[in-house]
Formats: sequence, C-alpha cells, structure tokens
Amino acid sequence: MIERIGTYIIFISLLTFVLVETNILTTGIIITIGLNVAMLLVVAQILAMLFGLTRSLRIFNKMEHSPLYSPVREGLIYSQKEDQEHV
Amino acid sequence: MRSRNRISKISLFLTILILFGILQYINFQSSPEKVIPEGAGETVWINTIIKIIVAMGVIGLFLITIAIHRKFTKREGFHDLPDYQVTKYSQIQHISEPTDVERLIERFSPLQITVHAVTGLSILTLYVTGIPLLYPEHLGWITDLIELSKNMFLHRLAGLGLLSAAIYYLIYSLLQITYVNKDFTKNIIPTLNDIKGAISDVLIILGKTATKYQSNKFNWLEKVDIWSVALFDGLIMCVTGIIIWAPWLFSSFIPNSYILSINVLHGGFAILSLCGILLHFYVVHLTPHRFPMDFSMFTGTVPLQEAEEEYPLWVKDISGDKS
Repeated sequence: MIERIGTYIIFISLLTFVLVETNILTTGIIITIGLNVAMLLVVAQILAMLFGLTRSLRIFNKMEHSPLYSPVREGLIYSQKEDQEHV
Repeated sequence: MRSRNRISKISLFLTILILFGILQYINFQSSPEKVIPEGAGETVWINTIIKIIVAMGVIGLFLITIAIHRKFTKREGFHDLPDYQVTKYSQIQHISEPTDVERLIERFSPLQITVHAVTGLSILTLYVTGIPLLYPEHLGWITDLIELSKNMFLHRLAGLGLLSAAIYYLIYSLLQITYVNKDFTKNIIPTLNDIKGAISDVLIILGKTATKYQSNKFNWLEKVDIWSVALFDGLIMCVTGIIIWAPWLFSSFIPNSYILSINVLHGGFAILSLCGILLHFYVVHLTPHRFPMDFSMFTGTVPLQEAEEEYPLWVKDISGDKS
C-alpha cells in the first residue's frame, strides 16, 4: 500500500516546491499540505535512519562479544526453526 | 588494517582540532564593537539569479524523479519482488536482523556507514530546523513547537555535525590517497561508462532500445548523489552557513548586502538539497523492490545476487573475473 502511494507522495511534495519556487502558487491550503508532507517525509527518514543505525549497532555489538556471530547464520537457524514449527 | 585504523584516528584527531579551532575563532571574533559595513552595492540581481537557479533546479529534480520512476516501471516485473528480496522479507517477519541466506558481500566499510549516518542525521535535522524558517506561513508551527532559540541551537549543532563529517572524510580520503591506496576514490570518480549509462537510461525512458548499462560499484545516479551531497551540502551549505552564523568574521571583505545574498543562497540551496534527498528517499525506500528500506547502508553488506544484477563490473572486479 505505502510503496504504491509513496511515489505519489514524493511527487506531490516535489511539485509543491516547483510551484512555490517558480512563484506559480505561493499561498493556500495545497501548498501548506505539500510542504507539511515534505517535512513528514523528512521525519520518516530520520526514523528510518535511527532504526537502521540501531540494527547495525546491535549487529556490531554481537560481533564484538562473540567473534563467531554471523547474522547470516542466525537467519538460517531462525528460518529452520520456523520450518520445523510449520511441519 | 592497522594503517587504516591509524589513519582514521589521525583524521578524527585533526577533525576535532579543526572544529575546535573554528569555534574558538568565532568566539574570539564575536566582540560587539565589530560592526558589519552597510550597503556597498545592490545585490538584487544576484538574488534573482539564485532564485532562477533554484527554480530550474527544482523543476529539473522533479523531472528526473518522474524519469526514474518511468525507468523503474519499465523494468520487467517491476511490481514483483526479486527472489533475493522475497527471502529477506520472509525472514524479517520472524527475526529482527537483516539477513539473507544468499551469500553476502561487503559493499560499505564501517567508516562509510558511520559517515553516512552522521551526515544523514545532520542533514535531516538541518531540514527540520531550517526549512520552516523559509516558509513561516506554512511550517511556522514546527518553529513554534521547538521554540526559535532551541531551533537555532539544534540547527547549528546539526551544522557542526555535517561539517565534522565532511572534514573527517576529506582528511581521511587525502591521507588514504597519499599514504595507503592511490585508488581509494576510483569508485566515485565519474567515468565515460557513467555517461554511457546515463544515455542508456534516457533511451530506455524514451522507449528506445539501448544496450544494458554495466555499472561499477556505484552507478551513475549514485555518483551524482554522492557528488551533489559533497559539493552542495558539504561545501556550499557549510561555507554559507558559517558566514551567516558569524557574519562579523567576514565583515572586512564581504559587505552586508552580499551577506544577505549569501543568506538567500543558503536557503535556496537548502530547498534544492531537500528535493535531492526526496529523490534519494524514493530510490532507497519507496521503489517496490527496495521497500520498506534498503539495509545495505547499515549492515554494509549486499546480497551477491543483487550485486551481480545491479553492479556487474564491481562483482567481476572483486572476484578477479577477467571475462
């Protein structure tokens, strides 16, 4: 759902900047919504960045504590467990 | 490995030293008797040129986003997830680590991950605290929510974060090139192959047949991304930001009217930069084959299958395949 409407959200916010910066439309509810959507996307990116960083730090921490730790191997173990539960 | 660690420590030390120097200099020069000279010529024409450049840039970025979307949708099976991504998704549902049962190869070093994280968080904080000042009528609530003084403090703090990342990576790259590896930056230098890639993509967008672009470690669009962040955010925004942060430092050779033009330039290029980052957001988050996000920038690894499809020349290079 989001990946399908997300593209259009990006287009809307970019179009808002086009309208404002070319002085075609500088006031009104459309511009307010467009600019706020752009800021919402920025906040979403901050959250995504923090989320990604938490993951990489967790992997790094596990690797520091156990040199044999491998996220790939852990993924395999989990997927095998899941398969066994389904069986 | 040892020399890499040593270089990163030296770079960190030099970065802290430079930042400390800048802050001390600003502090020493901030005496109240220093007055910025008035006038010295009209700069309306400069502001007009800046506004035209920004308007053209924004239109260009909007068109590029549409073109890239068209290119992605022309791909066979655009709305279907590739096999390696299906595997990754099914695992993400059960575990918290980004994993892949396929072979993974290292694409980004821990240093690149750190610099990307610091730069990204700084730039995004700069947008949240800076863009509302350009559109107070529409986004004034953000400044009111944070309070102007705290907003400006956060803006300058994030600015220092961006500056430190830029200085650190510059020093690190220069030391690497000088003492360890002359080819350190070869992957991000634009080549003839990238121009061919851009032409090939334009032909695909226009619906014409073109030979498939064989990308190296970074494709032409990623190189544009890297260089635009380095030049616009790392250089222009940092330099103009320092000037409007402490205009009295430059009062002896920059008149007041020009400082106001630099303010316009800073704001205008911030909008351009935001539009560029929105395009980046689209490419790494919202394309169906990467949704909800591409984790390679955080784990540093990329599935071999994905690398073979997206960066065939790089895979050949690291695997020693001469064919």
